[in-house]
Amino acid sequence: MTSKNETKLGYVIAVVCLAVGVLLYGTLPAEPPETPVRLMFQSAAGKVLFDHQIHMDRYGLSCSDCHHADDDDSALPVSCSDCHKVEAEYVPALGAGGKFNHDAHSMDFGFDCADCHHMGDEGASHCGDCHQPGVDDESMPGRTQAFHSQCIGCHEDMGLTPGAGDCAGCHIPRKRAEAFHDQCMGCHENFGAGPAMDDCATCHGYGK
Amino acid sequence: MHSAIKLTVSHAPFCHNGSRISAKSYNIMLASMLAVVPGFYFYGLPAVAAAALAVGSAMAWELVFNLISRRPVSIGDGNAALIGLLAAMLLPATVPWWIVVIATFIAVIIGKQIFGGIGANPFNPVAVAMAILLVSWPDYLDFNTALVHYQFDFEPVTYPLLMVKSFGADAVETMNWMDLLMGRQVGGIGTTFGIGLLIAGVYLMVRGYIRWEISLSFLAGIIITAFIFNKIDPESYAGPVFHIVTGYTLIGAFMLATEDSSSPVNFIPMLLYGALGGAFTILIRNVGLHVDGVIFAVLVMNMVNPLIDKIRPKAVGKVA
Ligand code: HEC
Ligand code: HEC
Ligand code: HEC
Ligand code: HEC
Ligand code: HEC
Ligand code: HEC
Ligand code: HEC
Ligand code: HEC
Repeated sequence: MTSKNETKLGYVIAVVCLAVGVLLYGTLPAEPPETPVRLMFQSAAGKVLFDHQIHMDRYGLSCSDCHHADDDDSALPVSCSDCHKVEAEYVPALGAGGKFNHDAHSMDFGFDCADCHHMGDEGASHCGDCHQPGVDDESMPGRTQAFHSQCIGCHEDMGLTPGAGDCAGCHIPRKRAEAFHDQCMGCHENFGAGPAMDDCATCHGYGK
Repeated sequence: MHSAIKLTVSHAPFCHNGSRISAKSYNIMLASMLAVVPGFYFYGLPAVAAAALAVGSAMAWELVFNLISRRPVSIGDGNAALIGLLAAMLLPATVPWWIVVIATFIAVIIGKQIFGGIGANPFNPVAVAMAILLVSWPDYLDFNTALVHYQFDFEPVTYPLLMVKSFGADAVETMNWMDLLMGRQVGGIGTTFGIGLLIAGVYLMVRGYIRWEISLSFLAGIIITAFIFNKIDPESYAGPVFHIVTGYTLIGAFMLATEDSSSPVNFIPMLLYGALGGAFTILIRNVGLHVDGVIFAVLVMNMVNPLIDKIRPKAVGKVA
């Protein structure tokens, strides 16, 4: 081939490739799939690769085991960081710093002690003495359920806020990293499988 | 009889295999298709987009430089296209368009043209581009991160070299070399289908488009060094076969280390160049900072190439 023809061919290849490249980049959807396949978390301690697909498909878990705030199974769960912010601090709804104001509830709003301390005299004792975390059945709601149904139940009955969807009205959710650590490792410990708390590198070994 | 024509040439040595540059470029590109087309199959349209944009933009940069420097248009020699294709092969399929355009800019303009164009570049242009990208935008080149949205039918879906580096040889025990060679692994658009690269390499060596001395000694360097590491500590270091079929090894041996103007042309120097490049690759992979060592090993060898190429038969006869 003469070099003139070579140059012509060069122009053709260049134009075709550029056109195809620009066209495809322009039309390809940049959005990730609705339900993630794998997730790469970037953190100060190193990247963590989380196989969402395998966790969903293989270990017999339900979505709400992890997406604990999404009780509506029909809608796609939202990102944990919608609530668990990087800087947020863990402040339970009750106790110091919590948003529940006992004095206001018991004295200002005009309720009986027994409206809440539903076991009568013993009522002053902590709800958690009877409503244990993790235990939840028909005869005895678990700790979280007990609180949620009582607090939210009354608010909604009276048409008040904070209601069911307004988590932040009562809680300041814990830090993002803490939420992940607690959930990932909590479940692994329950199963006796998957990386445990001291296996930092098993999760965080995916590069800086 | 003296002819009046004087030829101004640069310094020796040269070698010529009798064909035009374009024939060589297009042959290497066609052979590379054996790895690129499977890459398109694995990664779909995003891979096609990246490859097309890389080839197109590399040629565009070449043309722009030709025009600015008022030199003859050289996109006909296919060298820029080849540079673009090789760069795309090394990248993950989901690479953003601007990384592709920067990559070809660095390769064509900084890696090649400012040194005087084809034949004058001391470093492999593609390796220069990749090295700069690896240092500047490592997250976009991290295969595990880049490919999180892909569903594959093999496991584990993690970049093999990172697995050994972070978790030791145990972590890759379940990966068998035949699977890896067939492209059942995470990697670049044109780097995972090892069978294709092997066939391409043999073809190019037989046709003389690349120097077998460099390719084979590069692979030998990998095998020997990986073997020694593996014998010393089999728990931390994977064996030679693993290193041959993962990362940029095969594309490095056949398409990167063999780049003409940055590699030697004498027999012994070629063997040394290849073998040391292979050894460096494993050193970087096993004890260095980077997950893969091919790019940096090629650059280091490019750097010492002029020195190595000095090892050649003494000229017989009088010295002028
Ligand atoms: C083992 C725990 C686990 C299980 C089980 C699980 N997920 Fe997730 N999922 C996660 C984590 C962790 C994230 C990351 C959220 C983030 O990045 O903040 C996530 C993210 C998502 C997201 C993306 C949210 C966003 O907008 O970023 C969707 C959608 C999703 N999951 C759907 C599902 C569905 C549907 C199921 C059930 C079939 C399910 N997940 C089961 C842990 C889990
Ligand atoms: C809609 C808001 C919201 C979303 C989305 C959400 N959380 Fe929470 N999470 C909360 C609130 C509120 C609390 C209660 C305050 C606390 O204990 O820190 C909580 C508590 C927790 C706790 C501690 C309580 C427990 O059950 O052990 C963990 C762990 C946790 N979240 C993990 C996650 C993870 C992981 C995700 C994503 C898969 C997620 N959360 C998504 C709001 C949310
Ligand atoms: C709106 C519901 C509500 C009302 C009304 C209410 N309480 Fe409470 N009370 C609570 C909750 C919730 C707690 C925290 C329980 C826990 O920590 O498990 C609590 C805790 C207590 C405690 C234990 C405090 C501590 O720190 O150990 C006492 C004592 C108590 N309440 C007395 C009363 C008395 C007396 C009244 C009536 C004047 C009353 N409460 C009215 C909800 C209520
Ligand atoms: C002495 C043990 C005890 C204490 C303390 C206690 N509960 Fe209960 N709670 C029970 C038992 C037993 C039941 C189930 C029987 C029933 O429905 O009354 C129950 C049921 C409930 C229910 C479901 C009731 C319904 O109508 O379905 C809620 C909500 C609840 N408790 C909230 C609380 C809260 C909030 C506190 C603290 C303020 C509290 N409990 C303290 C023993 C206790
Ligand atoms: C028996 C009914 C009832 C129960 C049970 C109840 N609340 Fe309330 N809550 C109210 C009323 C009434 C208000 C006042 C709303 C207003 O003034 O707008 C209120 C207001 C609030 C507010 C708004 C801030 C404030 O103090 O004005 C928060 C937060 C709150 N409740 C948290 C809780 C929590 C947490 C629980 C459960 C431990 C709880 N509530 C249980 C009736 C109840
Ligand atoms: C009306 C107030 C209220 C609202 C609204 C509310 N919670 Fe709670 N929640 C509580 C209380 C009270 C507890 C008891 C434990 C505590 O103080 O953290 C609790 C406990 C929890 C726990 C267990 C925390 C632990 O450490 O054991 C989780 C998780 C949680 N809530 C999540 C949510 C989420 C998610 C939402 C929103 C969808 C939500 N809550 C909305 C009051 C509320
Ligand atoms: C609700 C339960 C549950 C939660 C939450 C969970 N896991 Fe797991 N994980 C499992 C189970 C079960 C296994 C199975 C281990 C096995 O079979 O060897 C596992 C295995 C793993 C493994 C090793 C196997 C593999 O897939 O490579 C990793 C890594 C892992 N989990 C990471 C995480 C991370 C990161 C999170 C938090 C974002 C998380 N997991 C949250 C249940 C859970
Ligand atoms: C089961 C997997 C797993 C294990 C084991 C694990 N982590 Fe994490 N870690 C995570 C995930 C997921 C995140 C959340 C990253 C994010 O914020 O997106 C995280 C976040 C972090 C962060 C970032 C905090 C921040 O604010 O950015 C640090 C630091 C950390 N981990 C340290 C550790 C250490 C130290 C260990 C061992 C003692 C450890 N992790 C073990 C999964 C794990």
